[in-house]
Amino acid sequence: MWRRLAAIAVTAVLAGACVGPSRTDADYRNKAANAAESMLSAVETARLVVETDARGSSTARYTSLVLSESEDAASSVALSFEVVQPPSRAAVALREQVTGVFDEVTSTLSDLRIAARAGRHAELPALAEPLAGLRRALLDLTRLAPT
Amino acid sequence: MTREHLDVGLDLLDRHVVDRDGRDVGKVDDLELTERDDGTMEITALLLGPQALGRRVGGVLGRTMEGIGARLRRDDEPARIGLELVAELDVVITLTHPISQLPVGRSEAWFRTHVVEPIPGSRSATG
Amino acid sequence: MKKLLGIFLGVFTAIGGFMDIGDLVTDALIGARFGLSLVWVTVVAVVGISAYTEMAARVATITGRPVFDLVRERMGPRIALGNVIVSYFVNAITLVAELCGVALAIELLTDVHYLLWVPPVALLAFLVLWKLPFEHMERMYGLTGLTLFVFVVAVWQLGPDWGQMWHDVVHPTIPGGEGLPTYFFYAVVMLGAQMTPYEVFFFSSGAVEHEWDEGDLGEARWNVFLGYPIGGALAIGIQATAYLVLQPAGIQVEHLSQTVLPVAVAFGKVGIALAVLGIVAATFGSLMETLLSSSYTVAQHFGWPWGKAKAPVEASRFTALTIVTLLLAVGVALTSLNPITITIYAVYLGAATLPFTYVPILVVANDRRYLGEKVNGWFANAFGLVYLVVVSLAALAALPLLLVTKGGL
Repeated sequence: MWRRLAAIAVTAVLAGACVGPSRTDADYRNKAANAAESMLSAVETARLVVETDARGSSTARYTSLVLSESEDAASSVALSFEVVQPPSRAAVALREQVTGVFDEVTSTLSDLRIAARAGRHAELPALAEPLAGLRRALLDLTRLAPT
Repeated sequence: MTREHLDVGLDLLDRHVVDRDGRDVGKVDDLELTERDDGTMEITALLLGPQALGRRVGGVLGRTMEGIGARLRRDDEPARIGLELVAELDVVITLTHPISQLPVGRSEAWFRTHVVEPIPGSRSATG
Repeated sequence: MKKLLGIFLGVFTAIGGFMDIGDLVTDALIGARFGLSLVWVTVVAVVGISAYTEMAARVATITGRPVFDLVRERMGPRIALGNVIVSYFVNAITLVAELCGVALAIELLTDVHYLLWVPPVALLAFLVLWKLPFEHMERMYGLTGLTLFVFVVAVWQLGPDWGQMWHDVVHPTIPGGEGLPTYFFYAVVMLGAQMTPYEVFFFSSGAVEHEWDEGDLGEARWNVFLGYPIGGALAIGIQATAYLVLQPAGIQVEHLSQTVLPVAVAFGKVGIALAVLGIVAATFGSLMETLLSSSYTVAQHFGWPWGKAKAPVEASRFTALTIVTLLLAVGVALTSLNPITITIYAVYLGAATLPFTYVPILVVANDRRYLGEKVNGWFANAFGLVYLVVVSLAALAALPLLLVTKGGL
């Protein structure tokens, strides 16, 4: 577990370093939108595999692996966004909002991963329920930077 | 082996060389030219190995190769096959003797003895 | 019957090489991100690599020497040496990717961390090199790789709108949010993944390992003209399943497991098992092909004795180089650099160096001194030249696109 944490941290810091500081609000919103898009990918992957698992269409190991990877991806995105310095007070407010959503995502995915690894597959659909709402919240965030 | 005309660039240099039994020897990396009494040049030998190739290619890479070759052979001169040892000149150049009787193939032999042979099963062909 | 079986099985050699980890990842990634808008690149790639492998096969069967052997004679030592260095480097990086690919595929099955599988897989590769006959090696992974057809069948199972799909294939559009440079970046990535250099080296050397002669040219051609299109069909299958399942959900492919997700949706546990089995087989086959190709090119350039079929003592430098290359690959893999990133860069480098591979083949295939009457006809040359232009454009655009898109972000 420690190795995974270390790997996530290193990746996030490097990614954050590559992402670079934000100088304008528009730039910061862009970063938030991109991060939300990546988060959305992790959330949707988790939702899809839980749905597939609930139908009996997945193996225990596969489900565990996918959920674990989704959690890692989400954690890494969250960390690399948090490392970026918000350039203004308005941006700080945005940061609060975004990290609020991201934290919920990572904790939900974490719960899912733990349950799957422990073999408690019957609990997965219930644990995955918050993801629908989180999906909507993330979609709103991606619209911060219309592309 | 006589020919009317031989295009050195096309028919000799970089040709593949095999011994009398068809074993791979190497490539013609360079040629040895000797000056005759009348001032014309005559090809007297094929030169093989990283020393010869390095000298021909030149540049930093070439000099590195030359250095490696010289160190491996412990000799300033590259491996040399006199023209009298050439039996046939075709898609490949065939020599008159088996490789064990020729002054080439030392690095292959070294790797065989020191690296490959010790590994079990190294003598069987898989086909 | 045995002859028929020979052709039938030989065909799948081309598939195994065509469905390597680069293809598996980029097909899913591109399907999820661009839908069916880059299917045309697969079609272009299949035609191109078929044309050039046919030339290489013709050279090997008629002269008894693999193409790379003749490159040095024909193009001079400096160009050939440059070619060897570039090829070895690209092959070596690809090898790391394939090694990780097999390990990742086994992780899919076992949920045990992929890095733990890297050493055992490398050991298995060594044993296959040492003990398994060349033909058995080809057939084993070629046949098993057939299970990848589950991706193609999954497209049917997912019940798509065929009209819409066909429309999307022939009217490629860039999805909202993606720029033109990114689209072309991934076009180059896909081309590199599907026209992999090592394929041609391996086929050409493999023909000589089989001791094929002029009489076997027909069989060689069957291998090429049936194998690559089937490989292309599999590639399109993967893109299509990603388009049908991953793209609508906004899922970006970052892990091999996501490639398999649409098959799980379509066929459940059986689908997962078949897909993973196929992936393990195809990537392992590619591992062997890439490993051997690295050594083939170097040995053939310097005139060393070479060949998997030979006893190792008969080709000592070749064998030593192969072992060293494998060990280096294990070393790099174990640094736990992201294997998907390595894969994309390996594929990308392959694309950027394609002209190095293909120009010599075209030159040698036109040389009467080697092929006599069987040199390229106008048809082969027309295709050859067109593709040379295509791969050169791709190679030239590769670096600018990489910089402009910041690596496809």
